[in-house]
Amino acid sequence: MLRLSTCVRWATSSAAALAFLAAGCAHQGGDELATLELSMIVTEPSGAIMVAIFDSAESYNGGGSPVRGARVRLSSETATTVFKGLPPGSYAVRAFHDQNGDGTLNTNPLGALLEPFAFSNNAIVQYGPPAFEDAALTLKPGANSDTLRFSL
Amino acid sequence: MTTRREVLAGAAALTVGSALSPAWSSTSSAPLGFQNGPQQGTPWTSMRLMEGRMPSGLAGTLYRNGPGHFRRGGDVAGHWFDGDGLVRAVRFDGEGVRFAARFVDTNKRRLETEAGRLIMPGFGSKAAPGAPVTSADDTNAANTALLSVDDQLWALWEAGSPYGVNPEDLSTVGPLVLRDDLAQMPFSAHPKVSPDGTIWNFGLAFGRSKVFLWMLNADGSVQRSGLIDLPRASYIHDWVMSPTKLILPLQPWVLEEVHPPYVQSLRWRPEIGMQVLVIDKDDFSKRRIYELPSGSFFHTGDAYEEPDGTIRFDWCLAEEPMLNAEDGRSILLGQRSDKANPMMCRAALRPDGSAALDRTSFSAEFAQIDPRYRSRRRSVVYSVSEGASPPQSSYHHNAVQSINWETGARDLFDFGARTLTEEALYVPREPAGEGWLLVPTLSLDDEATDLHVFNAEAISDGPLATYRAPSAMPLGFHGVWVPR
Repeated sequence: MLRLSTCVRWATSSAAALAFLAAGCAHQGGDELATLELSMIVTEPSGAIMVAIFDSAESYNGGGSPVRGARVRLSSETATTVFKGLPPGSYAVRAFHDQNGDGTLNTNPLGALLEPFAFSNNAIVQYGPPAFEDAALTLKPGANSDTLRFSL
Repeated sequence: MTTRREVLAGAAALTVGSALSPAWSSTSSAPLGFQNGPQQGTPWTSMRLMEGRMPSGLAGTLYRNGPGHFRRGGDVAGHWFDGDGLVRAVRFDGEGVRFAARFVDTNKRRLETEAGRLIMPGFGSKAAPGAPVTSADDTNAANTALLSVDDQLWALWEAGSPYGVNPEDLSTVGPLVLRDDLAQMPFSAHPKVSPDGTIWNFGLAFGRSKVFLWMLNADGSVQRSGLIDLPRASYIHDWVMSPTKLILPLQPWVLEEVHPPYVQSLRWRPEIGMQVLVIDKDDFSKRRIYELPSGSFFHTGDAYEEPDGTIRFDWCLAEEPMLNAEDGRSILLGQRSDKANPMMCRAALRPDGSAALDRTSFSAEFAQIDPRYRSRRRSVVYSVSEGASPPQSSYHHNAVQSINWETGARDLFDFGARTLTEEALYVPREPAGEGWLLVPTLSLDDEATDLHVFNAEAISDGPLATYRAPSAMPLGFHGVWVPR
């Protein structure tokens, strides 16, 4: 009834990419560059949030690595993280709430997601992840922000 | 354990090849049996004795589930199977008989109530643009069957989790997580309970050639599970359990290209015949496949094993898929499919790898047995059937019967063309082999839902007692008897 296979591919590629980037990336400065402040709202303050930022549909769909990633530890239902030094342009964010802190997006044996997740631009999930265009944010030079609301 | 949708005018429909006979009711109003149930439910209310007298010794509650909400804001569900689960209860407390009903408070129902539209996808309904569908339970209608587990009712669908329901006030507990890592796994509407209380079920991985097997302790905790590859992506609604085997008949109604809703992705391929996959209960890797001629089915009956290893099971088998995408919609509009009803059959799977079918000429659906003979050799099977005159409805059943495989005898009560019969459940009384049949019906003339108690050994004598519910209910699917 549900096209779970799409979720499976998504879960697998994004979990692997996030694990790879869990160590974090160095921030860069520059006036012509963009800053993205992500506010994150979760349902319970456990574990951490794993965030990945993609600059193309190809990489977003699993065909490449994110340009940035972060692991944000949680001490309350809200958290903020800032990505500096991004060239202005279109970016889409995939993130999940690693409630049990095991570093991976837990799934059931059929690949259905068992931990809350969120996409940028309040993109809605229907059967599978939203398209890059639906989740994309257009980052201007200077300050930009978005809010990720995690749900399952 | 933790909790957690164009009206087809008769003639126009014929031109599209759907072979529909004339509508029995106006297409501008919902036909009886397919109308929305009571939105706020029905509190416990005495049922009126219409006929007969209270059978001595009958004490307990009949709980039944079935789709009960099909229309919102001009939308009509795409398929009968997509209506919200409405749990109904009939309680025999020794003094009187009371009735209650309540919708299962699912995520789907909440979202659609808020939207004032039908927006969530299902077996045969498409998702509205923007409908939030991230997991199986987002669309869970909890509308097909009930299981009694450890002082709780489980309202069952077939592509998601069981929904916990309180057996006293019929309030909703929520979707159940049977084990953290198995959340959102499909749990079918036809679990089989072993004589020792062990609960076995399958879950069909909709969209893929896989099933998940569940073995639960009597308290609902998971004892063992496994993901099994199927040789073909058949739609499986019901299955069979023998003392040592789990049996999955794989009809040639198979998923090909996936394009939701699910039922529209199924193709009928009679040329590939029926396969029956038999799995060892003790070792899921031990499997065998039997071949049989083409057929389509929703429901099977109980299975037993003979001393030489032959497995026999009851089976309500049709020539072609009933309630496909077209039928599932037209039944809600009161338009009757002229497809032949399923017939009572019995399969034999022999140790030499051959398989055979005994066929009766009796239409039959919802096969039941005396549960004391579960997994044991016995000769009588109970079911609903079509009477001498078909019902004047898009629904096909208006009779109840027993069939004796040893003697070929059929004992039938025909309610006539103006009364529809839901699934008849067998309630044991002492001694073994004797019991009652509880038969819910919907009277088209009186616009009333009734519950009839039959002596299972003398069905043609007619009901021992008939009780009337406070209002007409939509037609239900499956139920469970919980003795007091």
